[in-house]
Amino acid sequence: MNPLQRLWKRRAMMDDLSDEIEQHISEKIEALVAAGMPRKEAEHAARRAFGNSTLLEERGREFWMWSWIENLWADLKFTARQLRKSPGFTVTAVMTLALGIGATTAIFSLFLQVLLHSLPIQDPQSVVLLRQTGASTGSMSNYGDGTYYFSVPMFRDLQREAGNALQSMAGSGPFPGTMRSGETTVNLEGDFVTGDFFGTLGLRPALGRLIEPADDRVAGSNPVAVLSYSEWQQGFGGSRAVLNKTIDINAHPFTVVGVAPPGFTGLDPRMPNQIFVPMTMEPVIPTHDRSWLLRHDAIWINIVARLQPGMTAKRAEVELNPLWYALRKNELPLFGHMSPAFSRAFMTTHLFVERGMQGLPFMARQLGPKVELLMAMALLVLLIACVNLGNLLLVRGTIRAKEIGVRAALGASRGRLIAWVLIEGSVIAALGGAIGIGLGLLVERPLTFGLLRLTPVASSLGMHLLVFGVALLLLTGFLSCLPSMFLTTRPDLTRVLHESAAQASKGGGHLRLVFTAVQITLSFVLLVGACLLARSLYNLRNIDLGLKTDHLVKFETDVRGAGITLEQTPAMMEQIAAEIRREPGITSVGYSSVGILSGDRTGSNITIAGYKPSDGEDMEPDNNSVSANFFSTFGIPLMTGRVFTADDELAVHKVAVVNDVFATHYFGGAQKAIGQMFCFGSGDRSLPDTMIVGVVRNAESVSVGQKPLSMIYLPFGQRKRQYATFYVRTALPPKQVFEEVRRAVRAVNVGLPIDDLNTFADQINGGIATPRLLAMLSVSFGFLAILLAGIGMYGVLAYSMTQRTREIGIRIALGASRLRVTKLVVQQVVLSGLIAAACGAPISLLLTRYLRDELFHVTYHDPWSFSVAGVVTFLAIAVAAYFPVRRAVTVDPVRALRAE
Amino acid sequence: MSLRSKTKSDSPARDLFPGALEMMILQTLEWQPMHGYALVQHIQQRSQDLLQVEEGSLYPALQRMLKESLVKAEWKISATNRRVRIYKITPAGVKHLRREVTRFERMLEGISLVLAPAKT
Repeated sequence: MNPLQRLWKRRAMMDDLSDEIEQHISEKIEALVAAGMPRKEAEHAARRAFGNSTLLEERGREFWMWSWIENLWADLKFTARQLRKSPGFTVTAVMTLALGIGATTAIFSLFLQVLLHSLPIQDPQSVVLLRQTGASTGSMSNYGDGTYYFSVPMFRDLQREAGNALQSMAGSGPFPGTMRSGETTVNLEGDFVTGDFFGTLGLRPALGRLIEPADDRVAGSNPVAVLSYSEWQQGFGGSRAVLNKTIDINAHPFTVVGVAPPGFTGLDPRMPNQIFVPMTMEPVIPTHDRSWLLRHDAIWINIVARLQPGMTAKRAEVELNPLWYALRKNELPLFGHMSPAFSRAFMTTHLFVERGMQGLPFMARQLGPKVELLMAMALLVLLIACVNLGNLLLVRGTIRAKEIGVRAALGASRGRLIAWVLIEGSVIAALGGAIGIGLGLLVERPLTFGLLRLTPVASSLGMHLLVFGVALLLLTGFLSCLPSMFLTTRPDLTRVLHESAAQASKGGGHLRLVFTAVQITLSFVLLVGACLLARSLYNLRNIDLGLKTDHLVKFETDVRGAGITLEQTPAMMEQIAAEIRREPGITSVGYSSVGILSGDRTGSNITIAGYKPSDGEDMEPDNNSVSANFFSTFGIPLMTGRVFTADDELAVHKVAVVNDVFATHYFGGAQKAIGQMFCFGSGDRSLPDTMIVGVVRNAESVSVGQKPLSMIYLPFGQRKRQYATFYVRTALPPKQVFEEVRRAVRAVNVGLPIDDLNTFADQINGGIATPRLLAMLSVSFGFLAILLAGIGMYGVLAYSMTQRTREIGIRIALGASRLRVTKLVVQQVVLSGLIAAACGAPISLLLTRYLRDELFHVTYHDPWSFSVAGVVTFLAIAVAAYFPVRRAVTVDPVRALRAE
Repeated sequence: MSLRSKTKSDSPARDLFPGALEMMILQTLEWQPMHGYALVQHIQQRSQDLLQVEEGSLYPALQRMLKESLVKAEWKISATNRRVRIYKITPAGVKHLRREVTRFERMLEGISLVLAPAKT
């Protein structure tokens, strides 16, 4: 019968045996009595003949009892009892592992999010994104890598002809929207989608219906909208009444026809879309001054497609490129006369077909390296924990050498001893791992949100995480046991059983030294990394942005929500500014079309009079339409020339102000830029009509830490937009001004949305949230590492000091000064410290290379960081060593000698 | 296991090789299923009292054979109205028996060849 059956039937079998034996004896008695023996005598004779029934019963039982499971269970109980008896060791060991595993699991969850986060669409494997290379002209609007963007006419052409490779295709172009429903106006992220968008992605509505091909036929004729699930829940309370409700998007009425399924917010994980409208509605609510729908030179939509069954992305790419090339060639004449250099650059083009499972890859690209970095750090911490545990187990093994010796003498095989060590390690690993995994899961959500700005895609990843955690647990448990397995299970019996059970396993001593040194080295490496990142963060927070960022309040608004036309916008903006300025405590108000340090950019092609761009030169500097007092509000000093005046707003003669980078790049200096003429656009139709009247000092404009880019400032009225970011300088503490600002804007027009009202300082802080989190985490890891190393050092030293108590006692008794003894005893510590230092520095230099991308104004071999790390490590060792050494050295020699 | 052979001169009993008892139990059970007490009686009778089984020693052997699935056991009511546990040999037990018997016979042959007077 198999082991499982045996286990169940155990009790029954043992009872049966007792019964049987009873029966046998009584039968024998009857037989003897029948043969004439008196009963009493028969009873004795029967039992005598039977033999030792107790012993025999016991031996019979043995076959049912000592299966390996019984052994294991007994060992576990024993181990648990042993561990409970030495709580200090147990807690240290368990928590060491828990912290190591917890850190690694938490970071792994980030890893999974970034790597595995896939769009919640049907069959994501066969969904692809298109990407193109080659020069472009005209206007472009994108939220990341421009190569993922196309024009709408190009999309339609591709859609017509790409049938054999692609089952279906769709386009999606995000736009900033203002939605007004009843009394509330909010800014949200909208998405123009072609008719086949939801069909290609295989999505089903949560309510009503989704955008269909019929909605996308005739321009301007289908004002329908689909809400995202979260917008439906938050903005409309999840009520079914939202169906067929009329809302205003950018001051145009739309009918809500449905709600997208939960979790779907468009193609870009970083920028969730809350409302979807047909592409053909773009001319009605254009983002830019004119509709981009039919322009071949307006590059602003992503193309997503589903492969034909059986088709791979690579094959599709091969099949589609000839078509792509031909379409490009047809496009070229549409742009007017282009220089041969441009034509060549335009036709040096390729269409890429890429996996679309995760949507647009910008987030993975941005955050992938950071998460990998964190993973490496977490693994180092885990390694330290592992070594720590191994060391602790080793020490414990030597302490219990006598016990092991006794077991061996009583006949335990080496296998049994090893199994015993393994069990102890496993119990600690199981406990530590369980706590660690728990910690990891706890930290998962805030970490994912903090670093990735995502709510973690729950369930399925939790399973991965658990499996990973358990695997980690098993691995580290096993690795930690290895050294003790080999070293402490081969006791020299004669020495061990002798009273002075001191140096039972000599080999362990050197290994312990090495382990401790390894731990210190790894901690040092982590500390260096932490110092570098912390310093980088400090630099980021304190760089000169070229702006006065204090006492500044900002908000965004979009006049379309109030039904204001493009023509009316400049006046409206001025009105808003004037109204705000009337409030008490306001010093000045400025506004710009592109937010400062918001990560947004606007760039356009320019042609400069008398300037011949070299091959491939970037003639698309950034531009920003600003109010006259924009520069004074931000404290951007003028280098030469002048800034805008009220007259420039009326746009009689077009003027512009550029920054130093622009002036230097194109003209070789600020002075030389004054009076130069340029215009937007390129090609024959461009007539330079804008004069540069001033040059200002560079100001960081895109994001903190990036080098300033070429920038053209234009008077707001000259190049109007229907949206702007306002900057309010106040003498009061900025937060106090929020209500005033709201009041002022609402007084101008109730329909104006006030979005992202914040102090400018807070916005900057938000912008460096990722480096800040990175620095915080790495400092935590560094701290954790040195803590673990310190504990490890303490444990090992405490043990070895106890061992040497007698030796120290003798030395002192023989007259050695305590100082000399201290020096002698501290040798081990110093030795490990030196080894650690010798190895630590070069290893750090090797590894910190990988931090380069994250470091801001700090080199990867920054001596300051190395020194700080060294000092901290030294202090940690000193603290860890202090108590054991002191205890050992201040021992009373008489007691020490008597300690046998 | 205590299986001793008694010589007529009552010299100190000698333990037989391990496995001997199992072999004999299996053979007996192959011939007829029976319970522990009957087994003991049978072996003693068949060996014409040359073998004295310490009765209890049967039981560990039986337990081991049960664990290894060489025999099966079932509680029945005997002819004398007692509750007894009848052991039956299993096919695996039969195979095991054949193997052991063959080994034993070969060993026996080997020993007798060595002990036999030299052929002239």
